[in-house]
Amino acid sequence: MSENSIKLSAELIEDGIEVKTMIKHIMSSGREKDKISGKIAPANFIQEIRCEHNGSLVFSANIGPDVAHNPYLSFKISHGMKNDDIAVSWIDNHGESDSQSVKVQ
Amino acid sequence: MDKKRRIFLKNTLMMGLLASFSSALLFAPRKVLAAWPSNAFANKSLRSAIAEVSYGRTIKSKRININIPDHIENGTLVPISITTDIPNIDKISIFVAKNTHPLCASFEFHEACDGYLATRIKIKRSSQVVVAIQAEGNSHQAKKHIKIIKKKC
Repeated sequence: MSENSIKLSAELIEDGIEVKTMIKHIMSSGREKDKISGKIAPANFIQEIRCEHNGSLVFSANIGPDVAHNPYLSFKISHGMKNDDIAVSWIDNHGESDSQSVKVQ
Repeated sequence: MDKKRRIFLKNTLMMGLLASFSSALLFAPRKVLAAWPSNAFANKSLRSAIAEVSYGRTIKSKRININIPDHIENGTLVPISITTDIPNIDKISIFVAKNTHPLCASFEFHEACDGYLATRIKIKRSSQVVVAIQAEGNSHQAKKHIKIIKKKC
């Protein structure tokens, strides 16, 4: 996977941190036809997304192929401060993975 | 006549076997990951898919707010956001009743997270969208019917 597959932002809000992330991924279910070649594209989807706040796991998502391509996720952590570390990582059904981290703004 | 029947039976049996193999293959690579709930994602019935990821008493809840457009033109990219005031949430799961595999995603909150979640899902055809929230041993559920509109030229 390319280096910047994860777009990540973490913002300090009134009562915590709002995390927004978008991951570049095809999310193919293995049932749909490829529009160009007409062949059925093999299953290729993210299975797990994890988010760590200052090194401890706060949020994890088990997702299936029915999440839209380039999965977008947004959620809120109910405590936090500026410059806290937020790290997001993913792994797909072929074992490919990537991670990215930012400081809370 | 009898021979034809034999061949027919043989063929249908083979087709059945092939179908089950191919569906097994579709989800085969997931074995690498122990944590991913493969049974829940492969389940084709809404009720048993919900049962796979939730436990405890089922409560039909009005405290879950599902923000999703009622009418959608593009079912491959449907924004959905969920807000709730239910405290101590363990898990939020999203199901689309008429998708081949109803379970879309299951989000686990390990530490104090607010009752808010936004994502984008695929909805194949007009269907109920069910949200199940696991909190304090209960399974709070809410649903909303979504209509997919085919574009007319």
